[in-house]
Amino acid sequence: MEKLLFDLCSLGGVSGNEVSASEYCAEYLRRYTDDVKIDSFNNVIAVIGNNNADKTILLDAHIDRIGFVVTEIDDNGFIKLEKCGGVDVRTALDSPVVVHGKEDYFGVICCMPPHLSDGNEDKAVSPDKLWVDVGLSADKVMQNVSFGDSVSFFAKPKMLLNNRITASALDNRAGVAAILKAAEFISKLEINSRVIILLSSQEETFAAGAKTAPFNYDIDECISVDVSFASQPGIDDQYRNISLGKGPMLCISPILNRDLYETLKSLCEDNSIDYQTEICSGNTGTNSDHIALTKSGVRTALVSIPEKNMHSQAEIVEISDVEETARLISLYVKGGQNV
Amino acid sequence: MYNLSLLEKLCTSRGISGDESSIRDIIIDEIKDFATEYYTDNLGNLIVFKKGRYKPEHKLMISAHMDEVGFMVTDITDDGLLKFDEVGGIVRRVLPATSVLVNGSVNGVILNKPIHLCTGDEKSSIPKLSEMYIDIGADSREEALKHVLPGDSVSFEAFYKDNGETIITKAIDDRAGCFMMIQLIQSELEYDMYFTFVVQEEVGLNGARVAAYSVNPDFAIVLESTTAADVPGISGQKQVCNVGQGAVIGYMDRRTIYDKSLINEALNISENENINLQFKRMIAGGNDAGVINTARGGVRTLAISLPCRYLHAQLSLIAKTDLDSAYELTQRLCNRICGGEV
Repeated sequence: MEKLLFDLCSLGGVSGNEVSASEYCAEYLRRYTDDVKIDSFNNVIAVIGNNNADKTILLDAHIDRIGFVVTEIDDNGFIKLEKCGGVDVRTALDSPVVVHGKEDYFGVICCMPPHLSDGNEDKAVSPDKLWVDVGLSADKVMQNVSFGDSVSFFAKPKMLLNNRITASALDNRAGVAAILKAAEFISKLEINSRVIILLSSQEETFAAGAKTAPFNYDIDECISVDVSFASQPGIDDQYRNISLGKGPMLCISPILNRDLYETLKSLCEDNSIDYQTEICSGNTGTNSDHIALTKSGVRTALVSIPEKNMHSQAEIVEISDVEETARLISLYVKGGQNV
Repeated sequence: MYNLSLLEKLCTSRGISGDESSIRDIIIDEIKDFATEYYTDNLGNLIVFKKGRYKPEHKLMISAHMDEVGFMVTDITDDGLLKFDEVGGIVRRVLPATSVLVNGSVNGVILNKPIHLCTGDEKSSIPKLSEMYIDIGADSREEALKHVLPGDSVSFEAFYKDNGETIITKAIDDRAGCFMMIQLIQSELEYDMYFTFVVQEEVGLNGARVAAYSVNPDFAIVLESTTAADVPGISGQKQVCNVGQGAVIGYMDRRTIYDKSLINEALNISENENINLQFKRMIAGGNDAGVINTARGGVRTLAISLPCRYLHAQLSLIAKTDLDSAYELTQRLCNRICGGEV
């Protein structure tokens, strides 16, 4: 699992440019089924299980990551960025990034030196002043980088204490890893349902993947896997009681199916899986909001992996939470029997 | 001409002010077969003497600092998070969600409250250092104490990328200076010279003060990195200097008024030998020259700097051509000084 997470978090795949991540995951899923495709939105769709079954279950995790797009290149070769997804500009300055041009180029986000910061040390950079310095001549940059190319934070994945991993893009490569691991379990089972695995694109921007891919199937139930907030300094709302290492978070929300929640909760209790409860009194802000409204409606559950530092280049999850999420999904697909 | 893998090793190794020993060990290993004599003084400065082919007219000391900016652990919370304070001046705006290394072995990251849960001004505010925490993955103070103690050193995570034209790395300030001095020591010298690899520049020029006393030179050259603010949105004088336009010298900064004859000699060398040289266009910054030039009865001093973007942060950028210019200028200026031509 550690290697899978390291690999997934080292891939590009900013919203709308998911190809590198989609290809990696499609190849991974071909170990378990021949029915794998990547559609025009860069969604990865794999079908496992009994194709003639009465019940169709969708397992979803978004594959895209937050990042930037190139909007301008100046006469000195500096590259102007705009946000693609909910990048937190407070974390941007002087950060290493990868510019996904004709090749990948390392760069650093420009940062004002102290003599020019004019006492603005307390303020984050304005989002309209984000530039990347790749340290190459303007000619070379113009030849190899185009408007619309994506730029992602670079952070070498690392282990912290307690089997925790820190990396950029754990939102939502942690969810993707849980589903890939579940696919491995499920492929070894005799199951009575058809399972569609969807690694969906553009969640961080417009949820275009989750809005489109499920339309092609008649789905009865869906489990969507994402990350959600774990407690850290400054958090004093309901998330203050969520911890890393205490298992997946099961969400209660108007748009989610309560019976599915109860089923997942019972599966946790019967199989010694620690779980935590997340409450979203409105929508969930995840793919599940869209999948639940597919065609005439889909009974949907949201399972989240607790994460610290969300939407930064130093997100943190505990590997056991990813593994337990995979186990819970597999148990659910199996219909409650042990895997 | 250079062994750039040595520069990479120097930049990616850790050595915040007061904890420079691992950098000093690398340097000793590099110079021990080339130096005539060397010793480490009471503060941790590495002082090296190398005989050249001739006895110099003037006693010359070249100096670069070994330390880099970083942090020190000040306390550990009940939840196992590390409180920290800066060692040297750091641009605080670069810190949220930055990766760090405690004691060179324990991985950590600086926490950043998720933007989704921030309200109002919080979304665009950089917290005070006193409100920042390093997470090493521990859940309790007791657990954290098995790995970290208050007073432990924290450095930025190692990073080094060379794209052929420029280098982006941690700690170019002032490992590039150390690197150039090592190259000089490993070369055949015309004249006897002293080299001081000093400690604690970033916290008050402490090492250079005592090293200059010990060496007691007539002349000194300080090898440094200086702010280049030639980035979008900054024009004219405020750029200070430009990456790719050569070595940097200045008439004056916040610590020192430099020796006029050394400035003129540097200009002559640049003109006659086609070495790129630029003037600092703003009185900003300061370096070890400030204490070296007033050591004992006074030392005629010049700082030769590399133009460097994003100083005092996690990553800085230099151009390889500027490294060449600074090295060549230094080499020639040493010979002029030692040969009595200044």
